Amino acid sequence: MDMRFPALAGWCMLISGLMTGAAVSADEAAELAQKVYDRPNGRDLTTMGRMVLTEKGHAPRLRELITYRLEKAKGETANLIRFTEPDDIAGTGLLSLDKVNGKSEQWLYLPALDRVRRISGDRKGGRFVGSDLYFEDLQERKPAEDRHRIIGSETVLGAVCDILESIPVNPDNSVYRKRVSWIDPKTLMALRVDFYEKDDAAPTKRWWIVTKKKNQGYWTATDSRVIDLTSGHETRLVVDTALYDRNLPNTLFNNQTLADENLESEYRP
Amino acid sequence: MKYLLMLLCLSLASTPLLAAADDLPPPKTKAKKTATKVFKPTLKYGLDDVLVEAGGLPDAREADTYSTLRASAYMLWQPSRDWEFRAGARLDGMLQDGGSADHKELLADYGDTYVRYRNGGTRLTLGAQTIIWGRVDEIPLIDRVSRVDLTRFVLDDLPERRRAQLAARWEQSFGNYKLDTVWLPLFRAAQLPDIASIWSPINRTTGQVLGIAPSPGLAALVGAARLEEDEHGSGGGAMRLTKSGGAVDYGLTLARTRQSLPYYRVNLIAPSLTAIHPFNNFAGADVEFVTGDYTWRMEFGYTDNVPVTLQTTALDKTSSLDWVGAVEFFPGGKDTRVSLQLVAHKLNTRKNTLELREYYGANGEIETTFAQGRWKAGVRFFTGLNVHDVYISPKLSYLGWEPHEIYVAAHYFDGEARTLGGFHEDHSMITLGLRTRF
Repeated sequence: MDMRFPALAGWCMLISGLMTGAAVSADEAAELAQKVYDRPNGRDLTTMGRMVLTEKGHAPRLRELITYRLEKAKGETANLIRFTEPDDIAGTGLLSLDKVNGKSEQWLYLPALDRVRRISGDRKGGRFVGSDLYFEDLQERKPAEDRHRIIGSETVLGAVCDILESIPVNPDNSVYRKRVSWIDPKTLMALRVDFYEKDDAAPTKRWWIVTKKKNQGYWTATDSRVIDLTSGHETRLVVDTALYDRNLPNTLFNNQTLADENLESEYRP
Repeated sequence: MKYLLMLLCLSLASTPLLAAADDLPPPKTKAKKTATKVFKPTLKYGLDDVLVEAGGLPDAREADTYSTLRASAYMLWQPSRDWEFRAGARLDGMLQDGGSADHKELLADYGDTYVRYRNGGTRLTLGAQTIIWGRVDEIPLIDRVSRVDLTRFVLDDLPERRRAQLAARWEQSFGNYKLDTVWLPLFRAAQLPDIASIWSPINRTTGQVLGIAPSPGLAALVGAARLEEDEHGSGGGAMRLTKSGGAVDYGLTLARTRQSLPYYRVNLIAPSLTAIHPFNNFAGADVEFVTGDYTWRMEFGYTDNVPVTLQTTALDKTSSLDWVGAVEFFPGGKDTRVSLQLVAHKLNTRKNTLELREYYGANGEIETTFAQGRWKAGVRFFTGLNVHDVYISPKLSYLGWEPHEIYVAAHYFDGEARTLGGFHEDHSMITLGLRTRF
């Protein structure tokens, strides 16, 4: 997934009642969205991270994973994920090739079958490994797929953010009615995002950055949260290691590597 | 949790990693060579599959309960990037109790135990290994080099219905192409349940043999016949060429192998049933692609030298054509997965055989997760389209105590003679189980 304007990363949240300021032109909003999308992000990236799923009354559940991303030629992006915990999904891998036209081709490796299976990249709903992330949250979304407007500004984490509202041009290509994001115009980082699913006035989900750190000149959100505002279920996303521009090879992003953890593990941090 | 895995998509790497605009231009890439970590030898070990299950059999004459204990352990040593050594062992126990055929059994066997060498696009593996070829779920036609485990019939998912067997395997990748070559130097037949087990393909209680039309003569023979196994010699070899990474994935398979599932040759004179495994020549093709929200998979296969039983109980041989078409999708793009398959099997003979000359059926799996993935409900099924043949297995699992799975399931069989559902129609079962690993 391209991370320049991902749903998770790129949008801030806005609570309707706290909106301030008058809406500015759609052109300015689209320009802001495009800037976030176009922000340089390294040729490649490797991370080791964790997802911690917490819910009141239940023990937390942990997923550990390693991810690789490569910006390929002609605007294409390749991603490879390998789960290392828990035991019942350890070794599972996912390869995704994102095309310029917004289409995505994906293959899933299942260790029990020792088999690579092609899966549809068009899926948007559904929870990602039981977390509060939907598939759409993890997919690249082009700025042109939404209508944008800046509806105010507000201070988040000490930064005065532009509040960007994004509504799908085609309602059928998103599980959300709209997203409202807080974007720090200095860093072009989204610091919070509210997600609206059924009601334009009440968000159902919120994502926000807890801590961030600069790695090799790139800002990295090392700790962030997603909360289901209805159930209170929370997913914590922790990046323990992030390495940019390691010159990852194209061969890391093929089905052979997907199906052989040993080939991929050579590139782990 | 197999298909919870289908929920996986894209990465935590996609979590916010945003360059600062005021830092522009970004740092120049300095790496000329990829930074790979120094290899450290690794040793892993553990129990990779433990199953404890208790089942009730409300209709069976043979038993009221059927319980299973299964455990497999492994040790994996990797002294260098190129070499890998694995040893595996398994223990299978069953207890059938409370009827006319009480039985208990404990079986020890090896698991995947091999030496593996890899270098670039080459991977060589020698030793006992489980190789499951194919593209569709449940009954891949391309699955020509695996060893079947019938000890629990169809109660488990496909990977648990296969066992390791001695093989030499050479996998060679050329870009998006892969050539997979397997030689089975020492044939090993399918792991069958004991003749006393309710899951045996020969039922001494009813006098039936799975897949063959019942008759009084056959029943008398089954009751008195000696059982023999013809397991000598090599298992043959096969090669499979696959292409992936483009808009369409496909594969071509050629095999001359012996299938581990038995064909029972009848000898009326010295009453016996001999499990034989003749060599088959097989040619198959398979394809997989996505249209919108749907993933389509298809396999087609031609097999020669297929043994069949004539009305006289004499052995004859013919060829067969098989086809499986499958579709997988997530309705509404949400947490429910649907996998549906159509199957067709045709024996190319005009002679009257005790086996079905044509079989058309459907099978599949529907499953959904809820309560944040802590629970999973699903159903597996197959049904005949030209014959009455039914299997339905609903299952409810609790997954919140990771990595353990606690489940309650039912297995319902029904059907006419010669079908799987018909053969086991008295063996419908309700189970409570725990699957885990350590």
